[in-house]
Amino acid sequence: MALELCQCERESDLYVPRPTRVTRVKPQTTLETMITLQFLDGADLGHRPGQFVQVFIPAIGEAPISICSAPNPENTFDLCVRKLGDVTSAIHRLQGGEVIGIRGPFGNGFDMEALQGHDLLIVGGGIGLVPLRGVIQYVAQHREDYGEVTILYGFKTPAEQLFRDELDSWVTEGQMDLRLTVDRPHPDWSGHVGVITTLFPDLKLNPQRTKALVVGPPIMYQFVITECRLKGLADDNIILSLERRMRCGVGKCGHCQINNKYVCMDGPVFTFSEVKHMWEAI
Amino acid sequence: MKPRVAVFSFTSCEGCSLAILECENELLDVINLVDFVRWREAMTETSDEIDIAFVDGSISTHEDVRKLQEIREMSKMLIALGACAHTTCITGLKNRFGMSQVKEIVYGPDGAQFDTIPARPLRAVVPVDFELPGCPIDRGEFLRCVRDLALGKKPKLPNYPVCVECKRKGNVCVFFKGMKCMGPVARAGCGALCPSFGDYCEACRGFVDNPNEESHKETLTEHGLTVQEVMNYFTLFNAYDESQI
Amino acid sequence: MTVRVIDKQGVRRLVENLQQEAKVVAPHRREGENQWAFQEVTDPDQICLEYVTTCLPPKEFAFPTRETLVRYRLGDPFAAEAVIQAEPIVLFGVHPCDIYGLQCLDIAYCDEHCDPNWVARRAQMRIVGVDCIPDEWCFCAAMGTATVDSGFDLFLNALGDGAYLVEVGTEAGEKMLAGLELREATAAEIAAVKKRLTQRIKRERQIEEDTRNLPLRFTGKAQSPVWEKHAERCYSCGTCVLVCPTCICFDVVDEVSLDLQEGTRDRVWDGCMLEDFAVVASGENFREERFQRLRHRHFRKYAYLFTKYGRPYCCGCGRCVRQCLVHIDPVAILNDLIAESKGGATRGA
Repeated sequence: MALELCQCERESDLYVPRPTRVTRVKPQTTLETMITLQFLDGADLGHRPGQFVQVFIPAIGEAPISICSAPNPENTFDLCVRKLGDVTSAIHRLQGGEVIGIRGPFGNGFDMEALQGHDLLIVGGGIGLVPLRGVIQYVAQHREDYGEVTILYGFKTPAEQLFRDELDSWVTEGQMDLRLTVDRPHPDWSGHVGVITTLFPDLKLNPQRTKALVVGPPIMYQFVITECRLKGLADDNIILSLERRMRCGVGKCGHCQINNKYVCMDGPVFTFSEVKHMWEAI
Repeated sequence: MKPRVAVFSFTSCEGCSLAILECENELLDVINLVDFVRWREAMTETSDEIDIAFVDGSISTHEDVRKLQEIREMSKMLIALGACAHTTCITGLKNRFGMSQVKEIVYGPDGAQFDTIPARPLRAVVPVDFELPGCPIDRGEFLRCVRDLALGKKPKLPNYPVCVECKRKGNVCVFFKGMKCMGPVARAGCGALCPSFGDYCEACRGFVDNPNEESHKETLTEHGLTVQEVMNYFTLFNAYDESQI
Repeated sequence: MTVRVIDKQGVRRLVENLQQEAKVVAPHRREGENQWAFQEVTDPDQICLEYVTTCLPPKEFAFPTRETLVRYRLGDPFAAEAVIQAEPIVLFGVHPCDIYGLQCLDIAYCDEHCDPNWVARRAQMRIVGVDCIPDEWCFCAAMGTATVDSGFDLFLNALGDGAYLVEVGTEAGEKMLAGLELREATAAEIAAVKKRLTQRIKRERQIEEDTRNLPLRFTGKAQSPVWEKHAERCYSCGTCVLVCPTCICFDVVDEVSLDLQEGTRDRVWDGCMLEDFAVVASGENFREERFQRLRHRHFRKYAYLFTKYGRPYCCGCGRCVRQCLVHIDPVAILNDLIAESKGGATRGA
């Protein structure tokens, strides 16, 4: 036999989406909607916050989407998507009750165990908050394992604010310090105004204890990372999640490669130390 | 409700709208997806309530301009059907001449009475939602387009050159057979039809988004074409130039 | 292991025997000068074992240019199943570089997750290798792939007059020879083949560096002017990646029947040299410029995957430069980088 290398188990269903019921649809903004999913067989997705799944809409196609919830006893998971392409537009047309397909979870996700005992600075720009919601839920579930938690959430206009009805509970039940900002003044907004970095001067952080989790558009990273470094955070303690368009999710198709890393296998979560020498990363 | 579809023709051979009728094995499926409500070549009924208008032909008279604007008004979506509507195809070759000269050449001394303007693609006159390229259109691409619209998907064209399709088919490169080819800059989607049948690509589907035109002009020259011949290769199906209008 | 000799008639009988149990694919001549392709053998006399290289590498028989991965029926719920189609196949007349290429894909396709379609096809694939005839573009000697010591069931080295030395690589290979009554090769015959190979390697194009050091030569080369220089005439046509025996990348496209009853998810060959390869959902293209794509391809072949898997992801077959209309040449690029790197070191010292 010519193939001598393969000792692995056959994964015959590697590319086959698993039927998954849409149990709830919860529109967020004009651009984003959130769906709750459960496998038809009731199985647990078995994910970590920060991982992603490949969402398959029959007859339309497949797209990688961040999971935006923490594991829960009901074995459901949430996806919050912006309407951008065919698959996400089709997700926006879902009414609830439909069966769609899921592969995954894929990627490394946030290492929640490694974050235990640390203060967390969670920085979400726009839909960057989506994968961080899973982290926030996880921390709320295991609140005693983590130190002080500060959430910075910035968005362009008040209408683009996600998870509105949950934010209060993050503060009260989750005992987290939540600070919101909109990019520019707006008649419907009485809170802080300015890009997300304008929230940094007022922050009191213990740089030795703090891990920053930063997710947002590419342009945001450079500025937020600079602020984190100015606060004294080491590059190992600045943790990012990068977006690429995976086709396979399993390290084969090549589309998500950034320098020598596959985002689907090595990421999407990286420390800044890992990516700062990768010229294609941010 | 099925989308209401109409087909219109302007300056062209109408081969592209005919190509729809030639989808004989698939037409029954197509009419399960959409309702044809207006199509001069295929039916007598007519309607002004149109969801999707497929329009073939270039726009080359003042009357064409007015009619196309009307079609745009009455249609939710307007799709250019084929090379004439997309790039003006060979109807754009007349744009190199003055219009009075063109009339004289075609109709003789009495030509002056005819209404003609430099040929232009649809998008030069009205906003176009999608362009199905090719001379003629690729029937498979048309069918996928109809299916995608029925499914609520955006139809897409490949943004890679014909070389990709030649390679996927294992074709011997046209240049290695002693011919010259526009494949490296031409938009794929035809399945490299001409090179697969012993011919060369003439870029009837237009160019990829960012063709390396300078490089290809050099390549064609290196393979023995004169400057004029290189220009002919580039303009046979892609003569339309905004600055000449 | 004894080395035996198979004559012209023996080769014919071998092929016919193999055809009893498997589809046999071998190089055939095609129209145009010096053009070959792997095709299914219908008449063993049409096989052309003395050839330079084929247009497409033999990976297409385990990783077809287009294949269905998943088939599904629409409905509530939809029903999807994996599509894995494999059949016994013998690739007859594969050059060492292409054998090396197949091994590269074995490694990458079985790393962490195991690609079921690749593995199913490879499990039923037998390889009969053959020594090659290099042309001016080959650089297998520089890549260390002029010979391979594994990855084949049988390997043939030409002796002239249609006769070959036969080396057996596997038990399956030994079985292929059953009933052929081959004589043992003489010491002189073995020596002649070795001598020819040595001379062939000397004639080939060289890289001015030990191959093992290539990843090092890429260190700090992201901003090198080499990339823009060599990308100037690049079409981004993808020819180099599509004809590459070690390129693995693919796209997945959705097909749905016109009656909207069923659909498939198909993978098609794709490549990082194509403009839209690194476009993400928001529309941003992380490798927008030609030189960025050329740079990525070469980093991937000679640095990233080399470091990850311990071997260059280039087999030196030369297909990329041979089929490139503007002859963008990895050997020239590597030598430019090496010269730049060595020159830099001298200046720095």
